[in-house]
Amino acid sequence: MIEISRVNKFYGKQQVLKDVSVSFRPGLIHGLVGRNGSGKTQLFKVICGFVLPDSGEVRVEGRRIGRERRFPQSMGLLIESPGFLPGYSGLFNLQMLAAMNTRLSKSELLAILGQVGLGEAAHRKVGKYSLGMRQRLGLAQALMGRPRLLILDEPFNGLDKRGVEEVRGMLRGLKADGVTILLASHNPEDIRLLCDSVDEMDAGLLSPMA
Amino acid sequence: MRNFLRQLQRGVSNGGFLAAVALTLYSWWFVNSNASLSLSDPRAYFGSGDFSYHFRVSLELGFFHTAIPLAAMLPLGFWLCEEISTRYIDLALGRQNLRGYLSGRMAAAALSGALAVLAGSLIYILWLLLLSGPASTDEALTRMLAEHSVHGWRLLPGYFHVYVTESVARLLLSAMVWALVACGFSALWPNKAFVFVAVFAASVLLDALVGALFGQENRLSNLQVQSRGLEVPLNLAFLRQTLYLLGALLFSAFALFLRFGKGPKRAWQRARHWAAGRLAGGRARLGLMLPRAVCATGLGRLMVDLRAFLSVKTLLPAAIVPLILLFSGGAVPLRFSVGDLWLRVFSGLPWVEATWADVQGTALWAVLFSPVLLGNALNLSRELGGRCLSTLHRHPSVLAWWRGKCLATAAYSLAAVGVMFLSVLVAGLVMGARGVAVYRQGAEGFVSANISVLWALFCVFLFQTLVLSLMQTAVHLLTGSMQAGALAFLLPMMVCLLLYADFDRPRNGEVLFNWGMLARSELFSPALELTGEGEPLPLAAVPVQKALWGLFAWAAGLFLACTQLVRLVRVGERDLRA
Repeated sequence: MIEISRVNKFYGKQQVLKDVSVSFRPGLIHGLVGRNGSGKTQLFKVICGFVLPDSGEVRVEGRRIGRERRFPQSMGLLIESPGFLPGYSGLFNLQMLAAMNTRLSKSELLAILGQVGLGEAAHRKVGKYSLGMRQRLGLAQALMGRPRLLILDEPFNGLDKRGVEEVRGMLRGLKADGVTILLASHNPEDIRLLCDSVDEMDAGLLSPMA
Repeated sequence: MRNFLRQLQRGVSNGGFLAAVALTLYSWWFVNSNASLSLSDPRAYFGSGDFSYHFRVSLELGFFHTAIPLAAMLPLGFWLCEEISTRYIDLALGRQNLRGYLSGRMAAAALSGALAVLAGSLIYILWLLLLSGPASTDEALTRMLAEHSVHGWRLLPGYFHVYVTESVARLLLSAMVWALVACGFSALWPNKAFVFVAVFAASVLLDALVGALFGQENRLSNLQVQSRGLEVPLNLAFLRQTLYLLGALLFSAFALFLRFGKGPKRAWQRARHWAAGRLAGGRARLGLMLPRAVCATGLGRLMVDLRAFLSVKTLLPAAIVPLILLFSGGAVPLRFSVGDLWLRVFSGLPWVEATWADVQGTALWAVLFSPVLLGNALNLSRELGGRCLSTLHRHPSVLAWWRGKCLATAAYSLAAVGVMFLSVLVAGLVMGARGVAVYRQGAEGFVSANISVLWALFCVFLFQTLVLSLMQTAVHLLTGSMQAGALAFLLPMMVCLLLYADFDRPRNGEVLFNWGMLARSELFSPALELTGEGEPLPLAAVPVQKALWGLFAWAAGLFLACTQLVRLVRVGERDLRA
């Protein structure tokens, strides 16, 4: 369960989150829509503990983020374009990231890469990956260690039609496994096909969509 | 033409242009910086001599040798780095052909670099015209000066404006050379930190090389500002500078051909496919090799950081630069040991007899540190940039995340210094060095093998590197700017070295960074007893033990402070796009 109550965030005089209050029930896919610069990414960063709110609080699984825990436990994250080491393979990059907080074997990592469609490119240098392949690798690093909470900001960016279908199927599978997913997308079809609830962000104000 | 003018406008309307003007102005001002009167009462200070005197002194004793390459690349020297990293180049090439795109930007880069130098010079000339006294009336003196100088009649009062024009024109030509060289380096590796360091290093090394091969008078730094006794007639100087300009143009054209040419691209692709085929199996086997028990622990996270920081790309320059300095330092004696070579490269020997601001010595010292500066810049910009989005939340806290980066930076400094010493060791053994120890005269007057001086050298150099790396790390974190971090590495060292050159040996302990100058320590300058007063006066005021402990304390204190600095910065709130 994610509970956000009366969160405000300012950058100088600009208020990017205005009194945001919302609850996300576990085991569902929650959609977030809104124009560019409306504050979607900022809200995600507040939930994952990257940004601390000026007032209000965020609780994930009952723990207050920034106070009781710095970051939510068991979280997978894809926000903006995560950086990788371009001189190393996709597999090696995943190995490096996995060693920080999980104990995954090489075969498990190869399976995750296969799941996101990078099985054949696992040993290729990330510097040679296309935009879509990097997005898939970003998704793979978010999925490592079977997180209970998945925050995905525009995960379909740069993916081809088949890739979009594959990722949609994967998200449905994760939801069936009880994973809570927060999803931001500009594509109404993704939201319509995947999400159990949808909220709209507009100039820092969050409101539920019918 | 419109494209060129638009680029020129871009070149002269950015912060880099202003910084270049300020740097040029400071180079002109440099000779006055020791005189407090120049700021407190400029009218009295500059009124004491005429325009021609102040102009010549400022020109001859300024530090244009270092400043011109840096100033020239600041306005538009990094255009290719910016346009490739932002992918603006794709938009631009969709609207014009490659040749027009490259030639327009290169011409604008060269011209805006020259315009920055021109603007800085004009401001200083205007300042002198407003404040300095009337032209000297001692006609006999000026005539004698003119007759004994290669500048001849141009130094006479009625013609001095020709000398001023000619001098500024020489600076502008040099600025164009270095702006073009910056374009070339940008094409080889579009990375701002690399270009910054490479242009600076190239300016120092090219001078050393040309000086050794073709004579000191043909160095570009001498052609742009002629040293006493190394004057070259005006027409010859311009001709040789034009040759440098042509060389820079060829270099940048070749580098751009390597990046954009179809042939090199195809050859490179073929080589990569070949290498991929050969190495694929090896790379597949080469994993992170971390024991499963270590994963998801603090040690595991540290090992991942170390693996990310200690890449071949960041360690390779550390192997190459000391060798270039070793071979550009003149002839190696017939009998030498590895220790002699280490002392030659790492002890700061160009500083031993410095009596005036020795710009070349400072520049060589800065080049020696440049691999570490560059490696730190690359590592930190990656870790504080986009990679932060996939690593930060895998740590228990931001503090733990940052502590890992600080430890990895320290480990990288250690590894880089190790590689630097190792590369000179290997070169020494290949060249036929006799052993490692140096032979020095002891207190009893006997010459014996000495190894402790080499340990002191290694430790002093390592701690110096650590101190500067941690300063770079702290500033990079606080400002989020790779350039500011690089300046935090370079500036304290260069300012201290320039100050140091102004200090005679007994007082050289007063300059902080001087602690690291082994060449001026008690090891090389034993105490001298003055017969007049009968009191011992050390030639050098730096006891090595004190220097070592001082540097160690600095490094340890900075490290502890640096690990806590992240509390002042909201890392996650920065714009983290790589």
